[in-house]
Amino acid sequence: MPSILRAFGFRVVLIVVIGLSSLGRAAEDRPPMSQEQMTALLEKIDDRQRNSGDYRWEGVIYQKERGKEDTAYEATVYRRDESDQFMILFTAPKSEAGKGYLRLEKNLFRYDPSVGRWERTTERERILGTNTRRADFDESRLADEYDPRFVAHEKLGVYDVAHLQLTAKQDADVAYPVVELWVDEPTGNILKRQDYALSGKKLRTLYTPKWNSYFSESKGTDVYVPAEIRVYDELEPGNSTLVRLQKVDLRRLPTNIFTKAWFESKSR
Amino acid sequence: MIPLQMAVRNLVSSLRKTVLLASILSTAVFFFVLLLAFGAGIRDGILASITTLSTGHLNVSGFVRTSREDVAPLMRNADVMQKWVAEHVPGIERTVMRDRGWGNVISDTGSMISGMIGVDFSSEHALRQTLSPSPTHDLPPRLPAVLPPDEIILFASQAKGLGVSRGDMVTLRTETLGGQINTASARVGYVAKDMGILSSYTVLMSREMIHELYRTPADTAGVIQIYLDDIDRSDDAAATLRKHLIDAGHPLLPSSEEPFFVKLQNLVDETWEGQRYDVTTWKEESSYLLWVLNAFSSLLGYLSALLAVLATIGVMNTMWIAVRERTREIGTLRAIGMSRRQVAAVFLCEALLLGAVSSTAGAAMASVVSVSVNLAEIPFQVEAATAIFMKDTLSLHVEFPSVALVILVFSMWTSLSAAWPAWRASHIAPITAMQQVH
Repeated sequence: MPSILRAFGFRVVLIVVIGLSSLGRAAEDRPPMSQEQMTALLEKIDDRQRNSGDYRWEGVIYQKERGKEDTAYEATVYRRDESDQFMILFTAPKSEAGKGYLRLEKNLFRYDPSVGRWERTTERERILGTNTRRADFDESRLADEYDPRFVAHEKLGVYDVAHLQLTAKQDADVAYPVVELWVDEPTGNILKRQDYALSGKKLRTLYTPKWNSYFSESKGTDVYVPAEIRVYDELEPGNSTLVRLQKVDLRRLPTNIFTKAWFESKSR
Repeated sequence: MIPLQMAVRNLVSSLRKTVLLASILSTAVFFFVLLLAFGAGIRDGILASITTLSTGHLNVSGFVRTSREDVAPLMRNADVMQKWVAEHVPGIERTVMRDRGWGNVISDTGSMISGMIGVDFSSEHALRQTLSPSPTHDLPPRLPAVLPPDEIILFASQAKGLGVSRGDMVTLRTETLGGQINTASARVGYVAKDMGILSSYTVLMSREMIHELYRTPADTAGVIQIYLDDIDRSDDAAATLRKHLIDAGHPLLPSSEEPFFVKLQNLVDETWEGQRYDVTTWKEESSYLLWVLNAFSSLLGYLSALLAVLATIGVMNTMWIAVRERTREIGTLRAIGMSRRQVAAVFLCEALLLGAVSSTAGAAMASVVSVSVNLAEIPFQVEAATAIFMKDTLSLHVEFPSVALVILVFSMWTSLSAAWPAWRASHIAPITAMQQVH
């Protein structure tokens, strides 16, 4: 069976497992989380994923769209969280190689080597038309951007999770005004996330069932990175994106890497 | 009078040659007038489509910078601006307010990205008159005067792509001014016949729905579309309106020949704040579509030149032959007192009559063919033609002032073509001419 089909068949298995394990279980008899506890949890989530130094991962993005052929992209993501710098460079297939995004001084730019032009775009743009956005690859800022509300302690498969509903703060520049999170309470890893529109319509569901940790010398502790991100479009069932993060490197990047010149040199 | 009578007699006396040349000339004029009618038909189709869906004769658009990287196509206090425009632009037939958006339309089986136009259906009589029902859907013959606020109008190709019919539900998705995603459920209220490429990415909906999607106040609008009593006044009216807006202290975008969605994209890179206005004509808003007309005009230009050359060669050649064949006659006429001017006039009148009769015949045939083609409602077999010409049937529009001009110019040109032979004929010495032996 092709790997993509195996990958997307996972959703069915996951849903069945979660569904079966949720059947007949009573709600955990634990007190709801306080506002301080929720804020602390969000800060923990953000901190676990943040690296004080640099961050680089190589991975593959599989895109499935109804009525179209499945596509796969290879990409490298670069981050320097201390200065909010961010870059995605697509390296395959040949038709998309050299394209990507670069954030400079709070502006996100998109580059297409076939026209040799940089275009300023919004932070909320869908990355190369997939179901992912810049925020899915960038530093987590949940504590800064959202106000949490406790929903329930729940079981997600074998995991004890805190189910929170997040509402975007007044001035937050986010695509999804309402987010629901299922957070593994012992570890603080997000296992499931659902994003909603202002109208309350569910837009997408993300699963991050497995997390890897990497020791960061600059931070002095581990940084947590999802091994894969599965994104399912809830408005257009059949559309989904699977991101597999394969090589993570927390060593220092070259100083001049977050520049248009560097990007263009790699695009050629 | 005498040169004219002689010209008629000469044409009749060499009837075969006259008919042959006249046939050639009238055939050329026939095709030329037919092409003119085709071009006029395309222009009318494009104009009807553009000024219904996309632009007025003149437009006042608004752009607001909502954040460093977001610019929205809207103006605040649109009612006030609409009244102000009515006071400052003469010759307005009507104005309509519309909202502009962009987003996804999603059905159970498909999705598309489309422009979204918020319309007050009850006040847009011209829109209701122009939209006709898609023949593949069971619909009333005309758009109802009132469309519920949660209903949208799709065009036939869009409905086909989405796999929906009247009554089906779709989801609209877009981003608010603050960049947050919002959705709305909508019912397909009507499926209209395609109107070319524009209808591929235009979805019509109520203004309430656009405001709900974008979370914009009810007193905002994207554009005020102004329809003049004479579309040809658009450029002058635009210049007047720009001047009045500047005098009133309203900041304007620089004038440019780009449609609004291109301008919107370019404005992201700019750094101004607040509200800006833009005054555009229908030509500027549809510049990316008018290449068809421009290409056609160029083609007509080349054809005109070719026609002129053909006419010149044909007529001049015939006149040279006539001069040679009638040299003795010319000599005789000169000997009995006809002036040089009168001799030249005979040849000029012959050419003029030939041109007038053949061009009139050609134009008349072209008019008959045009009327027949229009009555037959011949559909374009190629989808691309429907998209480009913004019509699904072949339409030829004979504009009689243009045809009259063609006849006049062609007649004058054929006459001019005979000028040199006529001059040479008039300068033949009578004694030389009379002595000539064939």
